[in-house]
Amino acid sequence: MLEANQSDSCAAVAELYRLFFSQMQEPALILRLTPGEKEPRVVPLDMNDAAKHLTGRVTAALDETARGSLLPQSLEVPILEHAGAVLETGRPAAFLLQSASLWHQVRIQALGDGVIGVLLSDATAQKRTEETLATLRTLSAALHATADLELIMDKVAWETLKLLSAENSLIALCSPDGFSSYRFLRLGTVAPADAAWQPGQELPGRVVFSPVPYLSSDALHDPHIDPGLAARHRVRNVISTPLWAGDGSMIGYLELQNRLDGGVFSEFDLEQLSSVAQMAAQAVKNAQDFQKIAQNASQLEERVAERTAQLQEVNEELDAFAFSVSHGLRAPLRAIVSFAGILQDQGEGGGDPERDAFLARIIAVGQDMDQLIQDLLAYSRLSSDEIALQTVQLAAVLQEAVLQLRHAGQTGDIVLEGAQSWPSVRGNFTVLVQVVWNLLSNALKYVASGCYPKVRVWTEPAQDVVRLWVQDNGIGIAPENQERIFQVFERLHGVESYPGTGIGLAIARKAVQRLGGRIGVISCPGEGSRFWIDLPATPDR
Amino acid sequence: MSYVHHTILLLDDNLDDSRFTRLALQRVGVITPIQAVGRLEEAQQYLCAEGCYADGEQYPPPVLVMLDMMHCSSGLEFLSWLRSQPALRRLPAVVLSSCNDIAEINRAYEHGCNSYLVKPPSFNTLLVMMQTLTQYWLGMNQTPERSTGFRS
Repeated sequence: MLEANQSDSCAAVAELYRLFFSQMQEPALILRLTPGEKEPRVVPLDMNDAAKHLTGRVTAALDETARGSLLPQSLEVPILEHAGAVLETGRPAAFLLQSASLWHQVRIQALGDGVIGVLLSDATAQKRTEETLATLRTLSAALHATADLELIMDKVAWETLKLLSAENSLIALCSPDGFSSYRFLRLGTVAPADAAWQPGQELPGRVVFSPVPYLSSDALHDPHIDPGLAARHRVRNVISTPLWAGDGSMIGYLELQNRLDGGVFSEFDLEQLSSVAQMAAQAVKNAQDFQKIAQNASQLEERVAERTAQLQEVNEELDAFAFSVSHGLRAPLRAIVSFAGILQDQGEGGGDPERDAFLARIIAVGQDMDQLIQDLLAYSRLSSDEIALQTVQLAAVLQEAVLQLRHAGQTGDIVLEGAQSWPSVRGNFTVLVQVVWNLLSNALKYVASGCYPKVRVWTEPAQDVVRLWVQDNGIGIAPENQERIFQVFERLHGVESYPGTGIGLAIARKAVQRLGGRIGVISCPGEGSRFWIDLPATPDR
Repeated sequence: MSYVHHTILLLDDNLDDSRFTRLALQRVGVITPIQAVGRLEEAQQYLCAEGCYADGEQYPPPVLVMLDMMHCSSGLEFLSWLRSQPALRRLPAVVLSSCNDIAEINRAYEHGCNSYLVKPPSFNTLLVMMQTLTQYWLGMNQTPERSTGFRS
């Protein structure tokens, strides 16, 4: 390249360049692109020591180097790919090249006249950092997607194993009993978790308690590693790091064993492991917290379920008690009334009139008491029995109740206003008849003596409910008593003036409540009463 | 009205109730023999002519069984047993119970009773009920042929 008639100074500068070229730390080559016998080749014109060393290493690492080539094929082929374009356009090219475990940034520059300069720089650190970042990103996404501790451990173990090309990956988690949840992946297979164990002076205890990451390039002769254990698991070299959560709490321990390529872990590998460990620790901590919360919640639920079961049991006992008490009361009562009846029969004609009167009282009082027990039974059944909800025609309910009242011999006018166009409601026919029967029965019963009972019934549809009104011309109820009348056994008047058990309205209210409705009264003494019940409207209205 | 050749078996563990039923039947003029037993096992022995009921002259086979539910379970057990016996499955059974709970009534019919009556609260009402009952079950009702194997 150099002209023969160059000046001395030019030769001196060229010599300086050559010296500079040979002293460069990074591999540098000067190549000529030739057509070759069959295909284009690059022939080295010069290369510095670093490049000679590199091509030597590349040659040693790759056996398939083509014969007759002065450059290893792994280097020649990618250079050839770019050389033509670089010479043609004069624009430099750059690309990444892997050889064995190393990465190089390759830059090609046209020097003119079919000659190119090639500079290589070590890009391994850069490439590895990129890989770590990618792994961290993958892990981050995976760890955020789940709160399942097992899954998180699997992910961490597998991703670190891949990232650092290790044979085994191992995670141990702290628990109050020591360390547990031991993961052990040998070439991708998961070993079952060990029982809880206590960390000792050796790994991982040393890492956990010190607590700093640890690199052991010769596990078998490392004083911090149990030689027996290392031999049994064929551990050659190890990197390990503690798992620290963001709040400074010790979560556990992460370890990788044996580089896959037979090499030895580096300080750089340990750094990468530490970065992954930081993220893994937080994810594990989150999962553990989540597990704790879930556990608390389920414990709470269990307790609620337990209490509910207890309450239900008590309720059932109470129901059974009410049932057997009323049942047990009715049998002797029937005996009393029946015996009195038999005596009454026997004394008829020529008996003692006072004796007959007393027997009649025994029978009457006994029958009242029987009615009372039956009403109480009905009331207790209303609280306990399941009530099936159905669409019920209010008009049919009223007609049935009126029919039953007539059978029972109650007199009075009952006017059902516009019954043919009354809406239907959501409820239970039998229960509603019970409710309406009690309302109508009261309306007919509580009238001033000598007054003929007149009852008016109508409906009034509202937002989601149907209101049924029952108006009477009775004696009315003072405002201070209007709440009392719905209680069991609350009677405002003596049995002498108005017969009854005092449970009718309590039954009505309980029944309406069970159907999801409400009941109330508007009244003034002497002006009659207007009872109302709100019942859920049918949805299709 | 008399149904001399008909026997009624009455099963009731309440002695008072049992007495009222018999007294009421007597008062309304039924002179049909009434055989009263107080326990489930006795009723079974009677119907199978076993033990002290082996004498067919003294303890003739009934044309009607009247039973109390006896706290529900015993009554249902008796009905199930009755309907599982080839010789007895056609025998009319009338429940006479103090319970008017619809669930219990349903169960009694499901176990094979032919009628369910609620014991009235007064003796006078019981008289009316017994009169109607005998008129219907012993008079109007067509009794089935005795199943084969029924003791004669």
